[in-house]
Amino acid sequence: MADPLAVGLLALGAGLAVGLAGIGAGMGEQGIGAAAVGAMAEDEGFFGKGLLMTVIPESIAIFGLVVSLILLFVTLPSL
Amino acid sequence: MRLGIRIRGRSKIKDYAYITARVRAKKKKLLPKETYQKLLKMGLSEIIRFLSESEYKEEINELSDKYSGVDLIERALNLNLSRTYRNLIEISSGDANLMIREYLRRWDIWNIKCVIRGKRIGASPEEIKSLFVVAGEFDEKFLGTLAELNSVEDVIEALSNTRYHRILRKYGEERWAELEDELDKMYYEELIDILEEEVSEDRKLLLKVIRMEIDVKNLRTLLRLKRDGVETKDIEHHLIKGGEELHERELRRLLTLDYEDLLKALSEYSYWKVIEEAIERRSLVSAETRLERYGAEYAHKLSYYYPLSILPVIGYIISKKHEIHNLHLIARAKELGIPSESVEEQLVI
Repeated sequence: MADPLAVGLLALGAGLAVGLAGIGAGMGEQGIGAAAVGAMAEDEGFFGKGLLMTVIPESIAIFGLVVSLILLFVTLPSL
Repeated sequence: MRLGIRIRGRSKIKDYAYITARVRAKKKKLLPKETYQKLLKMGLSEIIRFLSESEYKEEINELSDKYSGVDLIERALNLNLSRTYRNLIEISSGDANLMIREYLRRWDIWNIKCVIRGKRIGASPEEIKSLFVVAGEFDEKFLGTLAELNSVEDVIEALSNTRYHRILRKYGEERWAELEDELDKMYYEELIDILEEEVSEDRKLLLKVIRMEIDVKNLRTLLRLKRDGVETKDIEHHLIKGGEELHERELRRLLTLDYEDLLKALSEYSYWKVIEEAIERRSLVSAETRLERYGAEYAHKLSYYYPLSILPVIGYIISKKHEIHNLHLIARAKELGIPSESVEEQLVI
């Protein structure tokens, strides 16, 4: 039986990985999103580029998700 | 507290990201240099057709029922400028909005000058209204009522609740040339005061541009009046305090010099490289145009270093003004039959 403290810390770590990565991505996106909307308001042709630029910081959130999945489904069963 | 400051800092990025992106997209729509060459070769009706297919489409279509020829172009250009500037006020927020509004207050002064000049020469309300650029604090309705008034005295009375009333009352109709200078001085003094009220990077940057603008204005005044041999005491009251390089003491020194010595003395300043070639050609018009262009270039150049700041917006405001100035100039020249070469020299491109 795994140490309950270790399991708890691991779950907390998994949560923090997703949560903090989400906050970071959000902070990155706010400026890009505002600029993309601004550019789009002037010229609708910016939609594609704007959308692409806006989701680039989203990769950080995916990294966080991957880390938490590894923690929960790879590290946790091996404890 | 710290967190509060940080969050406000982030929101500044968001505010500026939106407006600077919009302004950059708008800047792309300004007429390129080559277009002016084409326009110079066109006739008045061709210019109208060109404008009706450009960014001025809406205004030309709106006014083409009532007006024609150069009148149509001038009214459409002024209407477009008013709308563009008002749009900038509407789409900005926070400190950027305050700075844009304060910067654009110069158009209130322009409008007051137009009304007073119009009333002095007995122009019709309709003619006066056509010159308005509604981008400052005064709305179209208020300006309309000013234009309808009978005399300069009535106009001054109608402005009794505004910040300009003190100066208007002091100088009145009799000293209108001084009145115009004083209004300009007041505008710059108040603008500098407001920008110095709070310390922030944006305010500092805008202040730099404003001080440079004052220098350019003073240089133009000095060059023109000194060349025409105007007495020192008559030049002094035209000069505006608060320049970046030409401080009050410097200005006083330059005032005492005659035209040739003034040119020699100017070589110490950074503006000399801008006007040097034009001065050597003895073309003051060209020197003035270059100084004007330098003002816009300065704001644009600085905005590359500070992309998320008020500078791209101010740069656009200046460039848009130049575009309208150029189009006005070309349209007027076409009507009066002025040769393209002399118009080209005066275009700020």
